[in-house]
Amino acid sequence: MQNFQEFLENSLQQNIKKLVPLTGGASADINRIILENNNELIVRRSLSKEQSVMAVPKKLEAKIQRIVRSNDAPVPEIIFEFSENEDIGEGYVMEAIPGETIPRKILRDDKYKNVRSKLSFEIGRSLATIHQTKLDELTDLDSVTFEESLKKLYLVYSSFEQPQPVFELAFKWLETQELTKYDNVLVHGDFRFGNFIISESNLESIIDWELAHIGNPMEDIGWLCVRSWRFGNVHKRVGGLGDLEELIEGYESISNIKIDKSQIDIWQLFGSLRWGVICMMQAFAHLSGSINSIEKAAIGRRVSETEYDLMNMIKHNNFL
Amino acid sequence: MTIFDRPSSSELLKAVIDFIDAETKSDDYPANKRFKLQIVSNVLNIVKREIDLGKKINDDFIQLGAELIKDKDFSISKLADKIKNNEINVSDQNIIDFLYDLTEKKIDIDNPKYKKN
Repeated sequence: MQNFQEFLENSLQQNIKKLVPLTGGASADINRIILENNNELIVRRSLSKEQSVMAVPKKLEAKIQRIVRSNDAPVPEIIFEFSENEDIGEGYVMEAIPGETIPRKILRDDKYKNVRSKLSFEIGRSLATIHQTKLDELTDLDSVTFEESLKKLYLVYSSFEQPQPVFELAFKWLETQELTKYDNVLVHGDFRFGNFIISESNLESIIDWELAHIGNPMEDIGWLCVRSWRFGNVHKRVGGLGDLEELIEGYESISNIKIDKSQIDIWQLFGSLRWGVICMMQAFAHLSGSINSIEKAAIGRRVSETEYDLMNMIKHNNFL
Repeated sequence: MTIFDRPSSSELLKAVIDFIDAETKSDDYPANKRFKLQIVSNVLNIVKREIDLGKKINDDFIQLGAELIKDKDFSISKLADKIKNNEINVSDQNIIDFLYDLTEKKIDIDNPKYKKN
């Protein structure tokens, strides 16, 4: 860490008071940089030469953010990028946007009362801006179809050799769905509360682009509707915050893409299944002995929450 | 029927859970450690509920599953394989009802609050 701090100080030409580790994503080591003058920045990097199978390289992540930002989507400004030895890794420094990311605070604290009423619309509009990104500059980003996503997810799930009849049923159900063919867009890939920075008056920023890819625009909306991100407000389909209609209104206010709710249902079901498989992935990281973590062990018993959601969607057509 | 004395394993767990919950609620417990200890309490609650209710749920579903797939050696992995290999019609209401009921019972152990929401 000492070397890393020195590297950052040299690059920024400023002294750093403190580096504060933040919770990482799938493959990111994230730190808040507190400078001598108390200004703050964020550094995201990947240390391992072995890239996560799911995450895009940090260089590409930075490129996506630059492009999306130039189209006026709320994304932090990239200050500089680096690609160094194994100690330092590959990554980038970006501005630290003030605001809150913790969903329960945003959904419950009085100070966010005013912003809550307009947030679903704002989130919809910002997502439409992201989906309007021109793809000719992003040819190095993988394009993933629904069928490929399903296949990939099934491979991950089956690698744990813990058969889940509800997951098998959900895979079969999804295989039989008819998907509307939309033109490909830039998909954020993890579009949900936790990755939105909210102030008392606005959606300030959308962060964590490591799962970005080219694909179906309904994927981001379906993922945002997954019940696991509603934090107790289960009847508010959009992240426990608002109704789908408000999000669609915001999205369609600047986009020609017409949202078909039945397509959101399919992608939401896919999202619950995906989150269920990610819970298994976390639990098996603990069970395999590679990481000894009570959090990861505990998350294995959250698989049943996703099964419960899947069965409510399949049996009762209940997406709330 | 057990050869062991009271407190039972469930009662011992209850004592530990009550202790942890009191610790995490006390004002002098460090806030940065509270979250992790709450996870410990949640995990122990899962174990306690499984000790209290798990055997009956397991026995009931082994029997119901055996009737469903007409195989007295029912197992969850057998059912999963049958769905995977298209040996079961996935739109069969009996299968859907069985899996729904099974999932409800699993939630009763893992996180009963999730069902109430």
